Amino acid sequence: MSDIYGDIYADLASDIVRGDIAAAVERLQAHGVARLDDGLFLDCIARGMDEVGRRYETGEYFIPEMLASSRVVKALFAAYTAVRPRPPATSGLSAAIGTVKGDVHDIGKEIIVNSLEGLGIHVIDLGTNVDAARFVAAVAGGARLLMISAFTTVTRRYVRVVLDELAAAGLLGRAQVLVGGAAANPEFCAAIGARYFRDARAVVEFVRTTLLGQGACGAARPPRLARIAGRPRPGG
Amino acid sequence: MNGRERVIRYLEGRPVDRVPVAPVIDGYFAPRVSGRPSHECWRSPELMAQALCDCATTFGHDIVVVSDALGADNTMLGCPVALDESSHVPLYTGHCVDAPADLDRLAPPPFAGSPGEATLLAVKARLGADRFILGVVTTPFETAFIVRGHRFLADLVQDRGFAQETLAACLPLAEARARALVAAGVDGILFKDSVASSSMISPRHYAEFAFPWEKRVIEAVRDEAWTALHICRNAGPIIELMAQTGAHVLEVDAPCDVARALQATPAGVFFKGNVDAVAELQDGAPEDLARRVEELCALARRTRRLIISTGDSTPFDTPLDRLHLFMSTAWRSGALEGPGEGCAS
Repeated sequence: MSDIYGDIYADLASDIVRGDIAAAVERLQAHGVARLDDGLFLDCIARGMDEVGRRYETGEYFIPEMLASSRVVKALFAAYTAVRPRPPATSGLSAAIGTVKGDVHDIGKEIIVNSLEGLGIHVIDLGTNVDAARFVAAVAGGARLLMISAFTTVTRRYVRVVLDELAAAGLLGRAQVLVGGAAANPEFCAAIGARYFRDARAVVEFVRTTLLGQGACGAARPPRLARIAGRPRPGG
Repeated sequence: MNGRERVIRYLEGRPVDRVPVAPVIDGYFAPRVSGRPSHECWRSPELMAQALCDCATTFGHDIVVVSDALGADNTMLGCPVALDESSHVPLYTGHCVDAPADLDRLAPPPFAGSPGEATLLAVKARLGADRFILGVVTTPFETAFIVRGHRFLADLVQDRGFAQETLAACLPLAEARARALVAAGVDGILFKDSVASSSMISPRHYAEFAFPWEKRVIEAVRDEAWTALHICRNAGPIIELMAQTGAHVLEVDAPCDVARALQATPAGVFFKGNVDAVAELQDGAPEDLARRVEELCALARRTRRLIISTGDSTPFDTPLDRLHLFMSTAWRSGALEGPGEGCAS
């Protein structure tokens, strides 16, 4: 890629790793969004996020670095979509995320929203202190990935309320439900039929490698997304 | 020997009958015992004080942490809060610092005449003679997080100057509150921080952004009241710096290895902790909880530098019999005879 465009993609990935939002946006604008190869652009975001995740896993990075990098991703994608349409290959996956009623913790949610938007996924951010009706409405409105966060054991109870409301509305199987936050654990999630995630990093990784890697919501994945997922496509 | 005498004598390195025992029972759990809805207690200084006193009578802990009732106000530190029938604690629903100019609007809320003062005075009037009364101050670092939200954590990487400006603007709030608590007659002040641990930020960021401001606010009052510093989750990597803040007591959460922390800090530094409030107190098997409390008591008997406590607030759903088990085990296992090896005197 550097033969044609110089090191723009490597540099953007580096900006993401350093959390340098000003440098990233300036570099993108200087290069020109219209000149970007959208596959390579998405690929450099994925590579930057991969490195940030690796550093988080090894204890080199903490929450502030994750947040900063996710904000770079969000800014880059905003600059991109201000000029060009959202990459069609990823627009098929619609997700919704929120922190349950009674709870306002939102750091992990912010990292997930920024990162998934950087992957080209349409994310409905329901915010914090969200009641069950709004989660249900998001799924009724087309969200196929529902991410629910609960930080305390008291508010964790409300996750079950959300799933009960989804079932009552006949929508339980329509969206894959991911649950995280400090109060969540594998046993609780297994009991309510949700998938457990220990942190924001794990959610982003799951979406990238499993949902996008296998084709979101049953949609066939174009070759471009193989690079985003960072893994060979099963069977080819 | 009553609880207040026990705690003060222990901190002074003088002989006591048993190790002080003080699980963190605050406004989050207290309404469970009083039987009044949480939101009513948070709205009423009288009900909050009653709930805290009911807990102290029911469980017999030596230290009473006084949570402020909110009264009719729907803001805290200038930020909007939600408090309705389903709330167990007031929830910050927004932030009030978007840009540097917003820092000028941060001002210490008056304590005199506030619901917080009314709560404290009511608890002190009922329990002040025989329990150690602990007021609460939010550290500048957590205050910065409250007024700016998660953007403050990103600022540590992306706008370090603004992060320091925010912290400087938050310092007077914490100092004013601490001085007001001293004037109101608390025995001690708990400086609490939910976000500065190594579970959230790097030790390097703690040293640069949290520690200097904690040290300043603690130094402002440490000669006038006992001071404790609480940092949620894993404080192990920063424990030596925490000790350098000058806090008399470091309240550490479950992930921290207390035995190692005791070894890594000077003999004059006390610890308070660190039963896991959720996994061990609320959800754990009773025999495991008892064993954990016994282990902490053994450490306390040997070092005389540990107050038996939970690492964080007792959750609302905690069964009452678990707290009774916690207390009875600690009373039995914490009996003292003769000086320990780490006695400050």
